[in-house]
Amino acid sequence: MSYKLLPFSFNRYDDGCFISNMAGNFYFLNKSNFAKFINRQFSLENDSAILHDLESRHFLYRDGDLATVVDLLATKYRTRKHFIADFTSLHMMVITLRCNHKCEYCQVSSEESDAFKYDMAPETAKRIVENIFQSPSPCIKIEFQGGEPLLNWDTIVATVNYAKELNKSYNKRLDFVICTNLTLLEAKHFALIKENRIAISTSLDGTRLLHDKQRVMRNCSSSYDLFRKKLDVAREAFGTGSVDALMTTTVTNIDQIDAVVDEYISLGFRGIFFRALNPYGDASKNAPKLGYKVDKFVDAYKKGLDYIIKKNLEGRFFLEYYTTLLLRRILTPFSTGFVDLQFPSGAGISGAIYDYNGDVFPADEARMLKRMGDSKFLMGNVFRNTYRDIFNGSVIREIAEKTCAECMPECSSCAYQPYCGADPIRNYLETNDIVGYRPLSDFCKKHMLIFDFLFEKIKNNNPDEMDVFWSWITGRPLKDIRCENN
Amino acid sequence: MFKPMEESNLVTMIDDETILLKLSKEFYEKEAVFASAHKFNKKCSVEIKPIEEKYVGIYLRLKDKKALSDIAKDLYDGIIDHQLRRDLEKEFGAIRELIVRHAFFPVSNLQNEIQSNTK
Repeated sequence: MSYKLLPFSFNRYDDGCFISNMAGNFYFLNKSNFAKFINRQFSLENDSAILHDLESRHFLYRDGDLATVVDLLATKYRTRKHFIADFTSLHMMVITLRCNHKCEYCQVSSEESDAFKYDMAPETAKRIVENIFQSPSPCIKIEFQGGEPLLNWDTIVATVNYAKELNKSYNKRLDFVICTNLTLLEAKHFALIKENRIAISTSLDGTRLLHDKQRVMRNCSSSYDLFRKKLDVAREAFGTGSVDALMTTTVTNIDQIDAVVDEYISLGFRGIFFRALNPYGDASKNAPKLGYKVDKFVDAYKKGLDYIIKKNLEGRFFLEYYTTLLLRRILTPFSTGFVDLQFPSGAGISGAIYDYNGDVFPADEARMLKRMGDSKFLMGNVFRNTYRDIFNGSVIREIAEKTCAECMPECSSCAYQPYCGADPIRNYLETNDIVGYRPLSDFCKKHMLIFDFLFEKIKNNNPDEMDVFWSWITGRPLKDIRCENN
Repeated sequence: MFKPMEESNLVTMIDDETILLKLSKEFYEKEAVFASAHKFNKKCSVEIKPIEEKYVGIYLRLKDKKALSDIAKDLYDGIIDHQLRRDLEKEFGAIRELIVRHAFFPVSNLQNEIQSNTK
């Protein structure tokens, strides 16, 4: 069989090559088969299985087939990049910088509970909502952040009501999320949250000891005790699945990932998000005390993931959210935009954040950078600039131009590109350049190691592990995946 | 396909701190050399300049001689892979561009477009 090659990228590993294409199809070839493949030495007589695999995954074509293959690949590529069409659907609002906690890893350097000048005024919130509805996206998600947003409840009420009012004309899908430490949740909040099905996202860093060591209340009482109490209150008021949590990894809990997972499971959470420490705000200031090398984080991630897989095999449906997102990208053809990991970067294009004073930034990290004294990513202000000024300005254009993988050194030739993404703010922080320098980038190193780990599992094709992965991707119990319900 | 570096005369120790990787311009394009060298310019000082008419020289400067020869090998492996990527791109780069174009601005007569783009 004579064949020609279709566009692909390759990464070498110890005994072979990992190849992938624009549609996210992938294949593993040992060294000699890779050489045979690129030199067109495969023959139908001796290599028919590999040849058919490679042909079905669009790594090669036979004469005459090209138009069909181009059409298919273009459709798959368009599908994977569909998130671009949803221009800015996530809008985060910093309702206040005040917080009743003073966590050492706080990325935003929160303020005292009585520092009211850091509250977003209802008038500012309304101006922001008007700006948000200028977005062409048919889906709008407004996320209330802080500080602790429940400290400025009146502005949340004003925002929700005004957004609903405006949406009578725009008729978009409208969702709300509150990112809260839960400790200030009271009966007066219930009606609005219930009526508008506002999702609740919170933080839990492990057992009582671990959580209290990391999440410190300004009045020095136990954050964990109050969190547990209010978690029960929230679940009783809004339902058992109403609260999701994410953890932040520091030196305190990095060696006790199993205990953290056990805590999540015992408290009835559906999953966990292993989140590494970000170098902003107090987390940057306290990095020598709280930080760790990226290899150590990935080792903890691997250990935690294996532990979670074991728990699933024992019968407990429990996800690691980041892995689920990556697996969905790797094993399905669907579009999975994720603001923090996509090409071009989701900063500004997929999500934007509005500070308490109406300043607009492409990402929370960019806002933190401003608090650290650098206004590089300030897109504008809702009082001084129009939607077009803000979202068609130089900041967002520069990010879009410089975060397409095709023009980023190392990313342009990396075979993990279809599943990965750019972090322009982090690149700028570390190298003073949005494009960044991959050989010294912890962001790149972390993702390369995680992809190596996941692809090794996929290559090994252990039926148990793959069943767990598919149960995560589809959101169905393991029994369903294995057709064991009868 | 390629002769292993240790079996060739590609590498010369200039002095205790400097190593030279000398490659023929006939086989390696400057884009492949630069793409691979990009990775190394924080580990050591990298200087790329022509040697005579037919060669390109990559000078790596570092104090640790052992590390330097390892780096030279990694750099050479990288250049080979980047040259391979460039060679492959010459074969299917036009198809890649057509796929992206067709994805966002569908081409009405794909067959004609293929014939004019992939000759």
